[in-house]
Amino acid sequence: MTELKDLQTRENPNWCPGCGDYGIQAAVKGAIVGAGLKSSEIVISSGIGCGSKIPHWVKCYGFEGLHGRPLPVATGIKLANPELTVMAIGGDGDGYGLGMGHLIHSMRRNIDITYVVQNNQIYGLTTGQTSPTSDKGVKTKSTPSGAIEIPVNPIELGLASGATYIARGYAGDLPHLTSLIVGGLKHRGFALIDTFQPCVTFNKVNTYDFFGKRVYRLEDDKDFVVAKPGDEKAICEAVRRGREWGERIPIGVFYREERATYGDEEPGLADGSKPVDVPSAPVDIEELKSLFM
Amino acid sequence: MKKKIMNILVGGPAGSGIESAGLLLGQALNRDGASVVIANEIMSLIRGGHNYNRVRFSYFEEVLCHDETVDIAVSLDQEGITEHLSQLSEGGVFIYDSVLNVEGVEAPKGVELMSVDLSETAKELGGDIYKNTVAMGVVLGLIGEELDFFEKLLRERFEKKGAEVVDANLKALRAGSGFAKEARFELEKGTEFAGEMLLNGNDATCLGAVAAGCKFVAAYPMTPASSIMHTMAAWGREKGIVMKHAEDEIAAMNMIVGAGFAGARSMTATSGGGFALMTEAVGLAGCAEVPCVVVNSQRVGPSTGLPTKTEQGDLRQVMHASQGDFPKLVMAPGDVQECFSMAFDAFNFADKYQIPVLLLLDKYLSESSVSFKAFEATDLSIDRGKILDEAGVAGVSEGGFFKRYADAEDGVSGRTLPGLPGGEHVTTSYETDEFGDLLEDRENRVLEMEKRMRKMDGILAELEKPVLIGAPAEEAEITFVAFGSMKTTLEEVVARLGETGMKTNILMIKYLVPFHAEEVGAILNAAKKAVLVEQNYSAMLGGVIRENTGFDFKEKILKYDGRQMDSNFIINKLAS
Repeated sequence: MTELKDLQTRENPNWCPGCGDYGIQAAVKGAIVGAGLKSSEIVISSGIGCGSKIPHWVKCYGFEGLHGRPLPVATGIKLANPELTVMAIGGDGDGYGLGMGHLIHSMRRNIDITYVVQNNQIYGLTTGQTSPTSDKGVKTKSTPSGAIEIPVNPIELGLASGATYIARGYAGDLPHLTSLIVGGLKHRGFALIDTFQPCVTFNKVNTYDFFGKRVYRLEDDKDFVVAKPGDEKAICEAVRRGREWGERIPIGVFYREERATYGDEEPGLADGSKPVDVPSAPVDIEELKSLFM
Repeated sequence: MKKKIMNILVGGPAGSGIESAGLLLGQALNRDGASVVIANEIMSLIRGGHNYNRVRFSYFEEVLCHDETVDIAVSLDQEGITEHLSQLSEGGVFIYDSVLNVEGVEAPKGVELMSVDLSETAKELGGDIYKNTVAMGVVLGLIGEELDFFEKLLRERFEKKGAEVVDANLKALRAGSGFAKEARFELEKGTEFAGEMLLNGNDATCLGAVAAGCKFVAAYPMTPASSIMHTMAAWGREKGIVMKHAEDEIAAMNMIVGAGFAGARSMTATSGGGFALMTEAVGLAGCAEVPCVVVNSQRVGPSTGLPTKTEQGDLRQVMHASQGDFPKLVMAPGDVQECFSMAFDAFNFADKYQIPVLLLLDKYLSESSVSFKAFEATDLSIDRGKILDEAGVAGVSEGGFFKRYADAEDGVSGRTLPGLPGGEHVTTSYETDEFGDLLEDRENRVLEMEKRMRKMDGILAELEKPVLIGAPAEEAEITFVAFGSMKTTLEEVVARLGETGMKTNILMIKYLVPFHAEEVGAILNAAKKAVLVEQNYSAMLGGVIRENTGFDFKEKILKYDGRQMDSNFIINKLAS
């Protein structure tokens, strides 16, 4: 089985010292080991952004595509070869901005992908503009008078869109984040893991200090139960906790559901057929030809 | 009147089933041994508006394309009367529903106006829907055909709907035939085109893709490409094909890139507007060196334009899709046979050179059905290019890391598919070193850029060289030059001019990128007269030829009204 050293790449990350992405990288590696997966059978699909460089620093198969598009690429990979474990990783701008449409559709189709969003509430690679999760009023290079829009709430978005594993992690709580990602990898279906990732260079508000004082683990709260379909009370509570943003901010699993994945019901994948099995000789089309005669 | 080729137009309001009646007639004739072409003109509406189908056929010679001049026209609506009456040839018959108003309508010289109780008869048989079958009966009566071959198809088609429906259809057909009273045309017979398929360019493209082992399609509906997604979806379960109707074209294109990376043979199909959205990911496939096939079936632009009409205006858009320089193959099939064979080849080229391959179709080619000899996949073979196994990986690894983008003489590095131990690497939209790690170094950039672009030499050397169709070069008074769906119309032009003693030929440009500059230049410089024929405003192919060869066309025949030119149009232009 894969050990941590097997996931070591030729080069080391070049994120800013102290970047939350280091914690996420460590958690991803830890989760691959923890879930007992082989590095050759994992694909990480990412987009464009600081965090999207992560495939270069976790030795497995990686696809670093276009800004906002890691989910469609991951979907193509998963449907082409359902035997692979497919992760998508990207930032809040990538996933909740440009890629928002793909995210909603990926959740409702319950494609078996674990999606980790590195949420730093700012655009880092492009040197500090407002992001879809920036708080209203935040002054950035693109909003010098303060952001006018209210932020996207990923937890509520996940609940409304049909994700079947909805969690929030924090790059500053490595063991907890690792266990959330292990849970996502083991979950059959779409796992959304929104992850607080302090940007030490461009976000001077949502810092380690900010989160350190506020985050608490949902599982530490005896009154909280992970919501599931049919449990309306728990779903309402998941929404309430998802909105909690102030003195206390929860991390952990909000919702979990067992539902057939997209691949389970795709007719083209019935009977174990998979698109990557390309025949060595042309496919017989005699029967299809007769449709036109 | 004796006829070698008959041309029948059936038109009516959109949603009235008149197009399917035309299709049914064409299918029946094809089975009966005629050579058939069915070309539609539809409006971008679900209901209302005037749609029509032209069914052109012959039992005497091969028919390749449509003709704007028709021998029999049927109109179920008032618009059809104003639109089609002038299209009839001398001796033609114009059939209209007796409920329509023909006051003040004058038939052209030698054209018979024929009022038929289509609505009334249909009503007696159970409903408006039978109007189409009555009309087909009239048509068959006018051409003196026995009804049995059509009755057979009607039985087959309506069997599922019950004996009552079959019976009403048969009665409608016979009633229609009775209205014709006597045959006006006599079909000359000479050749039997038995066992031919009747299919359109999209169907043929799907067959080529399936034969090539394409098992992943992601697409978003867009006329005139939509039937590709419908067909691949319909065959999905049987053939193990995943057809994902994506949330948009951006997703569709990124999905096929993902599937191509995973190792599937993947394809998408769209038209210009959707292709615009796919553009960024076309470049992704080029940079990341991921095989995939993209079909763009052109319609009339700019923007939404005339969404259900035909044009060849996306040539430059497809050739120059995406930022930066990257290797790609752009090809344009000219008929259904080429749609099949070039779709098949597209997957081999994509795999062998690890590039996006772009197939340029248009509405006319995509949606017109043509009788064709059944395709044979026996001479074809599948070439997946350089996909490495564990032993192969060992040869291109260093310190346990696989060099996905290792330098290669032919520009093609070996790739590994996810799942293979030891082949782990990152494929990326960035410039990288041989390992796939990001590197902005100057020498590396030049090395990797030149490595990728060297693929173009290999592709060009492998592409079939341009050939002249028709008279030998030294005998041809005119060389027509075109791409895509112009082929079949030009073949008819060459044949018709040949009957008048004039020798001509055709140079079809099947490959746009890379371009056979030397060969095309030599042919054109030696031609007595070169005439460019395109279905767009700015003679885009002419521009491509000029930039590649320096040859400047003095004579151009261009059309951009959204309707495919026919052989009459070209011959008239030559005369003027």
